[in-house]
Amino acid sequence: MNSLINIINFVPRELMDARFRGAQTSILAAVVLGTVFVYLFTALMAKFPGKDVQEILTAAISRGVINPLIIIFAALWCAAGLITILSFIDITLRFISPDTGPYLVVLGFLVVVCFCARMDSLSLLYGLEVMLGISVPLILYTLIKAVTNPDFSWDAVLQIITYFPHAPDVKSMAAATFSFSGYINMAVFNRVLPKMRLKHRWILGVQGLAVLLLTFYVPIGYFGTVAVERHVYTWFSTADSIGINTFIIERMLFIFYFAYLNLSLTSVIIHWHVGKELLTGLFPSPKNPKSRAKKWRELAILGLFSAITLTLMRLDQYQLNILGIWFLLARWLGELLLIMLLFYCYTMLRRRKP
Amino acid sequence: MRRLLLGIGLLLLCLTTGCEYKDIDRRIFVVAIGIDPGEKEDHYKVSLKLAIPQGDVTKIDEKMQILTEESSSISEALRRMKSKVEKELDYVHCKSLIVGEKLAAEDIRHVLDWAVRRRDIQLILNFAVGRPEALQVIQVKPPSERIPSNSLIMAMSGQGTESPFIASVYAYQLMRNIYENGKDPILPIIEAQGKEQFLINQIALLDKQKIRLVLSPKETRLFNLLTRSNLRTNFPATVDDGKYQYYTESSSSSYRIITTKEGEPAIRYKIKIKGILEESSTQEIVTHSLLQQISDAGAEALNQEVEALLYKVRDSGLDPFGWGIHYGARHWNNSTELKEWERLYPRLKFQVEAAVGVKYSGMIR
Repeated sequence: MNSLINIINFVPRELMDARFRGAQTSILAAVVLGTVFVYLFTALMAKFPGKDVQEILTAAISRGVINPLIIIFAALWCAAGLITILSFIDITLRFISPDTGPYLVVLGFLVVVCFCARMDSLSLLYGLEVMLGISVPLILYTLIKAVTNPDFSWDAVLQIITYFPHAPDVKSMAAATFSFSGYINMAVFNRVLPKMRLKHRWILGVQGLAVLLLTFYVPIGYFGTVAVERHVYTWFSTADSIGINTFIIERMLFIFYFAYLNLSLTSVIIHWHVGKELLTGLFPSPKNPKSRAKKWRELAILGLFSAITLTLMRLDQYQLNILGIWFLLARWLGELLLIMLLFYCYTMLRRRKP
Repeated sequence: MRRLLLGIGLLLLCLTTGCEYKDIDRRIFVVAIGIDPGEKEDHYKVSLKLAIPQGDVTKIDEKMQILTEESSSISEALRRMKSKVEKELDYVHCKSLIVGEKLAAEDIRHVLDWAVRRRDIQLILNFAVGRPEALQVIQVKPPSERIPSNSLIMAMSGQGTESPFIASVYAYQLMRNIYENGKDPILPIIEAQGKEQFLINQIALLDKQKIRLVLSPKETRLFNLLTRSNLRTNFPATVDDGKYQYYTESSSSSYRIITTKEGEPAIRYKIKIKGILEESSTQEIVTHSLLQQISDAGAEALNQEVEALLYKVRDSGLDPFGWGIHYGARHWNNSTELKEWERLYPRLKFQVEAAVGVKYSGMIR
């Protein structure tokens, strides 16, 4: 799932801050919690084939309660995309084209994202698959290169491992569960997915654990136990530290950047698409599906998202970080709320149809 | 809708044609930076080696330029240099940073901080100490060089020569080791010999900020043997009157921190070398038993030399091998282990067990 890879932005920083305290136990706890969440959510959604969250909720709860809830959820999704796009713009400006004006970069990204987010859900899912197919090999190559480097300091990694026995830290746990939260997009995509076969969900847990441990240990191997906190974009700095001798490009940074450009934009598109779908669902659906009103509504919503992005461009690095952390916590609670709501709907449904 | 899309597309196209990106013929590439202490107190003398891009690869004629500027800060010096050239200075291809020996004897952290903080300077930048001055090292232009500063890059990164006397240190390694508890940084020393030659065969050991000890070329090679695998070099062995040299085909080393029977802390180094006989001063036919004698004699000589180096390093109080963090990584008492290690460190003993196996006598017996 796509969020799995998107943890590069804020999650490592949060984990690094807690590296001497309880980051590692937090990762373990997050893997357990995240997998449980995935199990619960997918199981619940499978009980309502072909429906999205809105349709499920309307069946059980009164409209007055749903509307604010949906707005809150849509805001969360909007924020998810927002955080990713903001930090990625920052990275682009820092590493790739410092000469280009920031607003030009933002506009370029926003145009791509908004037009893609208007596509229908199924084609987006296919697009996601293609993007993953392109990016994952590049990321794997980066990781293999990173770990096989003779300068990789295994002693630093082992030293951090000896800091294992600490109680988990709430912030880093919330951050680490973010890598599992791709499943939550099924809230909307459930509508187009064929009847799911819920097999091999444990793989998600294993893969999540592997990815989290790698994101945590590899920068430590490169920057040591102490200096790692001094880097802002820990993973981009790490990629910058890897050189490739036998290739056309000498710096790993560009390959890594390309892979993450793909993934981040796709992730923003997916998140905003879900947010948009949720919000358009608030209005009564017009009879003619291709009506002008619907189109303008979609554009207005995406325009609103873009406007928020543009206003938040003013934040400096530390404010952005704080925003990211708040979002990580809020998202976690939101997920919990959504699962509880679904569970409530499910019990209501069962009671009505004995 | 189509028209709207087209309109927006055109609008964006208009934006991108702006001159925000500078073409290659309006840029000039900085390939090496040298930083020395300035004439005035607290001033830096920054020198840049510039490579001028050229179109035709077959007719390459090395074109380069050196700029020097003195100022109270590095960035200020660089900004001032901008008005000495007509093109935009571009640092993304900069691959080596030379710190003058005088500056390195005071403090290198300021320079490192600047290099890592700048977004357009790579983290795989080679750091080195320049002797007698960074400027002189940058000015060196060997006749074998075809691309500006290429010789320096090739020599320092190990892509060209595989000299056993060169240790390459990247910016990220230097930064890691400066802040790490239980490991101290090292830097290679580049000595300018005239205008056409340089010599890199020494390593400077630093504490967290400045040079404390400089290893001789011989020690540098042993240091590299202990920190790197498959070092390509030769070592001597003396059997009776015959002097032999063997070439190392493969080498590896590992160590463990142990407690001896007397309760003293010790580090046991194991070095494994597979070699080929390269030179012999006698006319004798090499036999199997002689080969074995050479191996044993070589191992014995190596043991003594490595041990001497290790004691020398220990007595300097530095930890370039990272023994401290190695110790910390294997102990779970995190709050006390560093203090414990500081207590143990001065009492360390070393046991070196070199296993040299000279397998072939070369092309002749």
